[in-house]
Amino acid sequence: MNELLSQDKSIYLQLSEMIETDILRGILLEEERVPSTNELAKLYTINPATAAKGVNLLVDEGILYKKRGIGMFVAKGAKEQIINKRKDAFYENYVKGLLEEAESLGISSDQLIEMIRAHE
Amino acid sequence: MGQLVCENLTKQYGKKQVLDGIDLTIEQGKIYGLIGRNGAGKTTLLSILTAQNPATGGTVTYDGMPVWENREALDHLCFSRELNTLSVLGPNTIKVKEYLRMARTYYPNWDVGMEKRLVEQFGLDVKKKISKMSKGMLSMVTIIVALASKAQITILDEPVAGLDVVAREDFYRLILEEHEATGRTFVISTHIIEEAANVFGEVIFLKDGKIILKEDTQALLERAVHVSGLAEEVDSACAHLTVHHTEMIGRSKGVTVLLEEGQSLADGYDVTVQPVSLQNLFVALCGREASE
Amino acid sequence: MKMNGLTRSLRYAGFRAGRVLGTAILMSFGFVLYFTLIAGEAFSMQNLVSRLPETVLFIGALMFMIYGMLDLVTYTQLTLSYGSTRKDAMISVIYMDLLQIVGMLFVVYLIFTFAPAAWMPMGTLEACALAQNIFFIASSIAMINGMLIYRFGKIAYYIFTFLAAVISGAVAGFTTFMGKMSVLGNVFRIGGLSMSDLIGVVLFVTVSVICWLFIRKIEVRV
Repeated sequence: MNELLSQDKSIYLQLSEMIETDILRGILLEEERVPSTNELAKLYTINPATAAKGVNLLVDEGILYKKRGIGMFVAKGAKEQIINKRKDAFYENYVKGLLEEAESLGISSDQLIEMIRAHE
Repeated sequence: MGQLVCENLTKQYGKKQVLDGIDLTIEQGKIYGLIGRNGAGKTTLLSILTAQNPATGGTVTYDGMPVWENREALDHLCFSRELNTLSVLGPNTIKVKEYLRMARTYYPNWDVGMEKRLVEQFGLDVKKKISKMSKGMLSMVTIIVALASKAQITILDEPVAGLDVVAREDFYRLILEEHEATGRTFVISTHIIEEAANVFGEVIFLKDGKIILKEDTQALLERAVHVSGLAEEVDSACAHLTVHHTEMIGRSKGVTVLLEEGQSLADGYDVTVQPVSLQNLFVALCGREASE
Repeated sequence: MKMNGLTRSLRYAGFRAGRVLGTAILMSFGFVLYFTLIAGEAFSMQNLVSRLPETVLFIGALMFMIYGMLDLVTYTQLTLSYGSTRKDAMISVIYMDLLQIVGMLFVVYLIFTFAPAAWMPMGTLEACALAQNIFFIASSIAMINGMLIYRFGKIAYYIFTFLAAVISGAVAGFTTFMGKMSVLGNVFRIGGLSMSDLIGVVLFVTVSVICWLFIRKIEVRV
């Protein structure tokens, strides 16, 4: 968290992704408390309903869970879950654009693989 | 604790139609942004909603009761107007202290503690006359009245005019804090769109006296796209869709599209699709070329 | 006492009226001092006090005209912008005017009872009757001017200031004149109350009604 918000994507999506990234990086640990919707709204100066939308997205996916009266917590196995989720989306988020750009520049698949190998 | 509703509201000044059939429901607990060009009718609308000016036609009710000349309803509302140095007539303009003192008497739930805290936070010299204050300082007075009134539905007209960027950020933070603490409803009319976009739960676009849009901010932005590329490709991708704000240079074309339920861009065309910021969307819908 | 919109308005109106009265009284004494000094007369209690009655009437009328004018425009616009109903605004304006008039009348009463001017052969009652007439007329003029200023702007203000100066001068002269013409006043007396004494009140009521119709429709332009 504490990254700047951009205009590229819905705010609530950016928020949920930031929380996911923090879980991946170990900034937020499993079974640890996540800042409340209001704290997040305050941090980013955004409408609390938007913050809630982002958090609820993660709750629906089982990455976060709610402890009534106490707050939101990172679920057990969340890190694993996020890695899998991002792996599945990897093609869509990174590779597809790469291939499209490569095609428009006339770079073949072999040349791409060559590039990857050279930088391993 | 009710809703502020207006139905088929119209307002005419002589031959000029300033508000043209407005239907609006302001619900409890939300932060609304009212965005419109100068002269679109924002202040007129807000003034009529709070029974400060009479409508030519239509009704305005709070919790089912008409607001006009209704003390009960008016006790729950606050319309903090944009002050300007010419507002109070004649050379006998009043001091800020007096303005705030009057406000204290008239608003039933006035929070003196909050008033004093904010005056100090903003560093206002309350002994100064309104005619001698800068635009920024007057905005601060507007903000203090709005917040300290503790009204259920609080309306602010151009509250950030004249404030520097740091003061503006402070303002957004204050509104969010107060909203969190009390669940009050805020309606904020502003020209400074982009910064405030994240604060508004819902936005209302007012154009030529009509509401052309009222929607949850995030939901709205999710259905707005900017499509650009070769003109023919863009046209094909956007066939059957309403395009706004067409910009062309050479063979390149860019349009803004607001997708309705079930609509999407036609597949397979070589176009760049980007999200649209609230500000760009507003200009696309309400700007000069929008009437094409 | 449970406060509602009207009582809050009245409370503020009362406070405002009190302020005007206080200022008027202070100004009266100030003027007395000033006139006594410029007249070059010996600075004695006698001289000071003898100028009081005339000054009070003069200042009172002036105050009503100035504050009355401002009351209508400034006050109404402000109170409406704070969410007051037009009815409450009108009631508090009248309330403020009446408070000021009663207050000033009381001052006039005190002055004429304890310090009547030798050159103004008027009884306390006659002085009060005259004073209320003048104050009501002045308030009415103020209300009319308030409406004119709203409608026509600053120009009306300048015309008004001129009129105020003329009228104040006339009032000062008039009081002296009336003092000498108390005989005329007696001719129209009916059961202790002279018809001409009611001109002020009648005018005030008429103008108030016009004013109410005006306030019902005005737009807030703060």
